[in-house]
Amino acid sequence: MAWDPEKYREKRERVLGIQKKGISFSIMAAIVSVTILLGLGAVTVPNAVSLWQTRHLDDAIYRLTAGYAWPDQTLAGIRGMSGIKKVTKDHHGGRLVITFDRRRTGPEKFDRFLKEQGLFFALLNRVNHRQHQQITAEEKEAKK
Amino acid sequence: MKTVDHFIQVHDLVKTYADGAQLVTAVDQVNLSIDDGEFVTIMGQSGSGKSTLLSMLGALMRPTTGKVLVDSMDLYSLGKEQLADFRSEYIGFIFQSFQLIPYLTVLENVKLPMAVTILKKKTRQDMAMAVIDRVGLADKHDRLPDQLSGGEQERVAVARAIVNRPPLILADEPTGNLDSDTAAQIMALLESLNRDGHTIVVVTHNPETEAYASRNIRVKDGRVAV
Repeated sequence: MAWDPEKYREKRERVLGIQKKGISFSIMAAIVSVTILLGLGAVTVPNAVSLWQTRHLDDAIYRLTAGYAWPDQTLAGIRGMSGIKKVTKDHHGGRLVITFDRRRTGPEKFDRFLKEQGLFFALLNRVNHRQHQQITAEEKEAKK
Repeated sequence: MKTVDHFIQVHDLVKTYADGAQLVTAVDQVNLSIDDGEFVTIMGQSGSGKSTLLSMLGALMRPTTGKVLVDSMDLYSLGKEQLADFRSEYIGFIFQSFQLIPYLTVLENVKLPMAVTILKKKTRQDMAMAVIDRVGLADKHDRLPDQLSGGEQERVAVARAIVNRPPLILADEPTGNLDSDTAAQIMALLESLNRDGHTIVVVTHNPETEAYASRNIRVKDGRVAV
């Protein structure tokens, strides 16, 4: 029987390490798996990082009981305190939201400082920063 | 890759050993070809070089000079891993001394060549049991080698040789340790494997095995006798 080059082609290619054209099932499965993992990672990693970075933050929400606007020098003074992340005004400037690291400072210090400034105010709420962001986002969504 | 006309082609094969200060030429300028599906015996007296020739056909021994082409592949130009793959894909070896692992059962011995394959456990089990059945030892698959007769041990060796479905079976004196009746059974088994499409090369010094082969090659003093 004459030699037939086709008869053992697959064996020969395995021995010689010749790659088949196209993508094998295992490579395709690996690509799909990696794509899914990267996609999930792109969604979950930023969230995880954000949660990690804000895990110690609280918001203290103040309202003036006399007067109409928070003086700029008061805001600057709070911003200069240790443990303060952000100071913002909302509700057209009537309320003050102080985002702070609860391990380093708290509303007692803010109250003391605001009294020293001769302001009349009320602490409306102290809430977890993430929870506050979520509530704010829901309120914005409800207004649309 | 070279274009060839035969499944196996041997060109100017030479194997020399250093025996002390003397150089021994075990195989001397051998040229031969074997076609796919042939049953060939290589006969010759002890020390004629026939086993050395078989080892070089099976990629077990690198020749001093010359070439062995199997399925168009020049064996001794392949790398180590390619040669190992070649042996796994193409060759089933049967040795005179059986070379069974004494502490493994028949089934485990037969499954050994598949240990390096990517086949599933169940597939390996099924393939091993199929060839054990083929050699007539299905009811003894859980025995250890020393619980079997010489002929049965040789059958296990045959089963192990064919379990990977190699196209080429190389047997070195497969009947050397067997009585004549058992030897005839083993040769009949090899004959049936040949009918199934395996190319078979048997090295032997037993003239009675000639009858089973489609061709006989005689080796004398390292050369193919004309």
